[in-house]
Amino acid sequence: MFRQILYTQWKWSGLGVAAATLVAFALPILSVQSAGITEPTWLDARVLLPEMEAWSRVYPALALAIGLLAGTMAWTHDHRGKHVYALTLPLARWHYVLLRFGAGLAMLVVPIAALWLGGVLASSMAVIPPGLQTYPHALALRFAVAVVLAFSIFFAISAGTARTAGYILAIVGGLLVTQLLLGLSGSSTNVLGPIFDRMVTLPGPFEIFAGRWMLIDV
Amino acid sequence: MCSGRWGWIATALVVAALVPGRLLRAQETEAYRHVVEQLAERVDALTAAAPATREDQGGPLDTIRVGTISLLVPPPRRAFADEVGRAAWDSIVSYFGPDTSVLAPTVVALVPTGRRGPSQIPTLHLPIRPEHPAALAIGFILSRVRDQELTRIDPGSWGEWFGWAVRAMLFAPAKLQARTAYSDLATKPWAIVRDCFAGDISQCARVASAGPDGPVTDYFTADERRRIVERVRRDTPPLRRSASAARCVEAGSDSACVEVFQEFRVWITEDPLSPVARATLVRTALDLGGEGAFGRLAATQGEDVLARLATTAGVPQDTLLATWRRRIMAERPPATTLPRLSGWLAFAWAVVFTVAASRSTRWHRG
Repeated sequence: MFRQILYTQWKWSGLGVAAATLVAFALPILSVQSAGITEPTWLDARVLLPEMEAWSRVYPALALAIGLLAGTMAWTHDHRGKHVYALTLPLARWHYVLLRFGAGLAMLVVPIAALWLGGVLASSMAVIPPGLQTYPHALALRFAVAVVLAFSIFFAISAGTARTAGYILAIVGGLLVTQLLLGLSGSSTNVLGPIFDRMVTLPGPFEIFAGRWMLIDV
Repeated sequence: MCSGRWGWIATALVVAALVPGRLLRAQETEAYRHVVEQLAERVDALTAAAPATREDQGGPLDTIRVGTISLLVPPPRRAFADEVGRAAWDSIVSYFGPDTSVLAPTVVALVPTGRRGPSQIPTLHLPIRPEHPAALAIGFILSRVRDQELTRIDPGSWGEWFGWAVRAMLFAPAKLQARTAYSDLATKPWAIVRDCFAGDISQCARVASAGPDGPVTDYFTADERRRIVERVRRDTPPLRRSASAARCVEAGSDSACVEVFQEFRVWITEDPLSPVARATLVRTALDLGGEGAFGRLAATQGEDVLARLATTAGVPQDTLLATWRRRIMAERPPATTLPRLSGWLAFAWAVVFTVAASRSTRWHRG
């Protein structure tokens, strides 16, 4: 049964996963383009570190994008077919959901492995200044956890009813509109800031997306 | 009289004919009333603000005192001056220690743009419509205090050393400084810095007391001197024309390299320790010294900067240097690793969302 589910999922989202794999592989390699000079000095380290910091914002964004793609694609065809296919299967709802989730996770292994390979390759290609180190394995592990979390979030949202999605959208939109109105009325009250801070600091769900995502670091 | 009236009427008709039709479109009375109300509100606001504006632009200045800082401001800016004065004072106390009696009084004027400040008093001109001038004003006050306090330290030949250190100390948070100092120590390739980074306190003493005009033979090895000259020579025409530089790089003559360092010091700005790292050393000495530390620094004299800082801290030099190094090492930025707690927490959240997905009601309600 799992193989069938995996096969259908591959048919639905294989192209997107392939594109994500390509980007994940290229990203670390692109990030070390300036780390190729023959005799780097500490001044080069000072230039390289901010560059790495700039690139470090792309990794969590890519993890979110892959999670969004895989999470929504996992359910698109079920929604389109009004879940007739799922209802014809001799499975409980929770079982079917776990199979879909497992199939999604299995597909995510490909872009995660691509990022790890890209990181290892980039680390071997880069000539880094003294005092700096490469972190391809740690970066790949962080990326893997972030992708799985993003996938589970978007998978849950997509699995929900239109009403649930509406509630989530309404809450997010309501907060944005409230902040906008407060700003227009000249108030300095920050509604979004504290909520955002709670989300990206322990024990918030998005903590993994914050922090340092540097392929080359001190 | 009559012809004059007809003249006005004719002119009005011509003007009316020239006015675009869209401007003459009829409007609702309610819309007119709204516009009039808005204008009336604006007139009231401007009328109410007029005395304050007149006071802001002329008249006597009030004096706001916070600690040893005196701020001269127009009366309408009293609250603002109080706010920035307190913020600047908190900053000063955190850097110079609780014994602020050693600080000399600082007088600063904060006046709106267009108004002349009192003569011979440092004046900052604030925007008429301030958006976020607090940071600007606090920075101005701190720079005045810095300049004033620097004159109280006898720098000897260490003027630039202390100047940079105190400047960096006043304008950057301690943690950020220590973090920058960590990058500095971690990435500088010079043997003396690498040894200090690895924990050799005697090398830390040498690197910490390295001034920009110090003897280069103390801070760099012969090979490092040659590499530095080679790098600077690539981008500096005077060095490319120098015979000493050519002998240093091409023949590997160390005496020629030392000559180049002495002759072209203005071009070779390589310094074993950055101003930020020095600032962390001065700050460590002041922190360890506690009450009266800055007073002790101001009271010390002489060329041995480490001895002066140890006196400031009230501890032996080795203890000062070990504490300084420990503080820097403690601020090592978190590398790209996955802390165990973060990993488990992310996993727990993933489980929560998956369980939520399995309990969706879509199949029941369509």
